Amino acid sequence: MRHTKFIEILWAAAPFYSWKDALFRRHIENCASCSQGLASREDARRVLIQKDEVGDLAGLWPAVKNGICGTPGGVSESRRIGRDVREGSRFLFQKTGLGWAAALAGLFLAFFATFWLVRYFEQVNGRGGGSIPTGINEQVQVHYINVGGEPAQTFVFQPYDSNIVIIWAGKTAEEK
Amino acid sequence: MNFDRDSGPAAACLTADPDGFEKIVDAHKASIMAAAINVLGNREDAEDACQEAFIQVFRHLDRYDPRKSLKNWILTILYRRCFDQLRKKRRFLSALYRVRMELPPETSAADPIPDKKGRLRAELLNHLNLKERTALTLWANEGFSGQEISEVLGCSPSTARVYLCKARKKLKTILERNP
Repeated sequence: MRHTKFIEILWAAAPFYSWKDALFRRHIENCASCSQGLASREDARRVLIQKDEVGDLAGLWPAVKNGICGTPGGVSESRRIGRDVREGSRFLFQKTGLGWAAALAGLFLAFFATFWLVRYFEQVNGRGGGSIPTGINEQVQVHYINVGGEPAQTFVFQPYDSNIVIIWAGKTAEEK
Repeated sequence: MNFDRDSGPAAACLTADPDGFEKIVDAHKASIMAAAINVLGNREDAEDACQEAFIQVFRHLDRYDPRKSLKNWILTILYRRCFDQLRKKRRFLSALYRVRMELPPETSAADPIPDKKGRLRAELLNHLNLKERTALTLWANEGFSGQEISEVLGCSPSTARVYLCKARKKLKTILERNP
C-alpha cells in the first residue's frame, strides 16, 4: 500500500506532461468502458446550437463598425478615451520616471495624514501632551496670568458634568 | 481574398481598414455567435460578447500571429469576453437577488415552455462550468482537438482534455436522464 502511494506521488510529481497527456488520450480513445460513459460528438451537436441556427446576424456588423470607428458619446468612445488615458498615464509614469516621484509624494502624504490623524485623536481623547486634564480627580492650576504687564484677576470654572474648563482673566480694577 | 479559414496575412494588412474587416466578421460571425450562445446560454449576452470580441480583434490585429488560425484567435478572445460577461452577470444577479427577496414571486405564465432541446441546453448550462461548456462547444461544433481547445482556454492540452471528458460525461448523464 505504501509502495503504491509512493508511486502515485512520484507519478504526480514527474514532469512528463506530454507523455502523460498521450497516455490519457490513448486511454480515452481505446478504453471501451470509459468511452461508453462519454457522450459522442453527434450527441453534443444535437444539444448545442449550430451556426445555421443562430438566426439573423445583420445587426452585428453595424454595431461592430460603430465600436471600431468610435460613435461619439457611445460606449466604444468612452472605452477608447479610457484606453487613451491609460496609455497616456503609462507613458507619463513609466517613460518619464514620474512614477517614483508620484509614489514618493503619495507615501509622504500618507505619512503626513497618519501623523495628523494620530495627533488629532490624541487631543480628542485627552492623551496629548498639551491637553488640559479634565478627570474628576484632576485639577486645573493657574499660577498667574499677566494682562497688560500686570497680574490679572483669574477665574477657573468647570461646568458640572462637562469636560470644558473656562479660564477667565480680567484686568484688575485700577485703584483711585 | 479568402477569409473562410486562416487568413493571417490578410488580417494583418487590414489593421486600419474597417471595411476590409467586415469580410472577416462575415466569414466568422455565425460560428462565433453559435459558440457564444452555447457558452453563455442566451442570445442577448452572446451578441454583446461577439460584438466586444470583434472590436477587440480589430484593435489588436497587430498582435495576431499569422502562423496560427485566425478563427482560434477570435475564439480565444471570445472566450475571455464570455468569462468577463459571466462575472459581471453574477455580480449583478447577486445584487438583484437581494432586491427580489423583498418582492412577491413572479408568475411563470408568460414564460414560454421550452422544447426538449431548450430543456437539455438549460440542464447543460446548470451542470457544466464555463470551461467545460467551451471545451464541449469547440470539440463538437468546430471539431477542435485537445491542443486547439487548450490554446483557447489558456491551459495545458491534458487539462483541456480533462475538461472535455468531464463535459462529455455530464452530457451523457443528462441525455440518459432525458431520453
